[in-house]
Amino acid sequence: MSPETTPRTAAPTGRDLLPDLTTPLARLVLAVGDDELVTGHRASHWTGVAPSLEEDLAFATIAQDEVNHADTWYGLLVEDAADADRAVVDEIGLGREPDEYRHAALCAQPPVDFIHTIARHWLYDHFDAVRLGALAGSSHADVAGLSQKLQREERYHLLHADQWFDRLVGDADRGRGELVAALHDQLPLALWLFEPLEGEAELVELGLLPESSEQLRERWLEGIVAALEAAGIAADVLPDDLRPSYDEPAGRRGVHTDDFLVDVHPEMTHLHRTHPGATW
Amino acid sequence: MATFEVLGRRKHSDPLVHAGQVHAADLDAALMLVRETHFRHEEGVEYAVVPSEHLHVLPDPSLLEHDVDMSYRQNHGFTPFGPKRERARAAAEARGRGELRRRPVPGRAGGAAEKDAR
Repeated sequence: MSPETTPRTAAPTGRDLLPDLTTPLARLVLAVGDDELVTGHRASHWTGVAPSLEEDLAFATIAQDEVNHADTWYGLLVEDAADADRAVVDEIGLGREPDEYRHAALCAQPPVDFIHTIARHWLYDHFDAVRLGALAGSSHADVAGLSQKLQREERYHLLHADQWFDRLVGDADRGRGELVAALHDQLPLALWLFEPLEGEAELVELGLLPESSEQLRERWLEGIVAALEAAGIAADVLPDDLRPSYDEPAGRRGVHTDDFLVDVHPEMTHLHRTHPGATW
Repeated sequence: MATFEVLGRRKHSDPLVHAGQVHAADLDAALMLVRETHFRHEEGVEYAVVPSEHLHVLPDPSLLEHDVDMSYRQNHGFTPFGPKRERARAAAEARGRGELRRRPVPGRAGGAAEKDAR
């Protein structure tokens, strides 16, 4: 049959594939998935250049895990896991404009050096553990089920981060000082992991997000302050204000820094933009 | 950094076998890293590490060399067993001992039935 005689309905492509991203579920999924995607993308920087071959493999796995976790979160926004929906998941992950992403600024931080990266992952992995712990009790069965599954996977990330933390703290020559500087540098940004999500009151009311960002922050602070005090570096690391007002909109409301706008987003979406609809 | 020997089992019923080496700062780091260096593709259900310096190596490897023929210690006299058995059976028949029975092979089809029949 020639194209002229075949009635064709154009398959949706590009942005037309995107589901409604304003639903309560989508608002939650984008915050969680985007954190993981951007963290994973930044972590992949270390593939091939980590301090040892062994660490290279471990960190590459963590990068892959985070991107895969983003993928599974976005998957909650599509009808089912059919092949056609892969294109939708890719479009959610890589087809949005920068101001449609909802990750916190900490996740988009450049690698700087390995200790800086480890410090960021230590802050982030403890946050992730607290958030997944809460989401495991979500009123949405898929959110709760996925969170429980990911909690098991994230145990390795936490083990990895905690082990590095202990090792660096114990290295008076160099590691301890560099870790303190890296944590001091990034802790104020880490507090913006807890910037309230858009329409968060509704998410909490629905039980989708069983605890508010503020409650999550308090539980996270409890854990990391205890660890920093046990290591004897709390006073060197913690900022004066642990509870920002979040008056100015930031990542959770789509306002991002150049780390994301100029660096991560163009690089991360390059292939997707250059070859629309490509599969691999 | 220290060197550690890695051992693992494929299944719970398998013995620990040597899987390779890993370089790590200490035992805890080695245990953490081996998951990715040697067991990232479901190669096993359990693994262990031991500092390479804890291996006691045979100081005189020449103890492993044989100066005289010790092939009698080896079991290749039993292989290939099938053709030898066929030759023995043919020789028995030639001697009028054709009633020599095929013996059931444990675990093979027919083996259990023949066993029951006895």
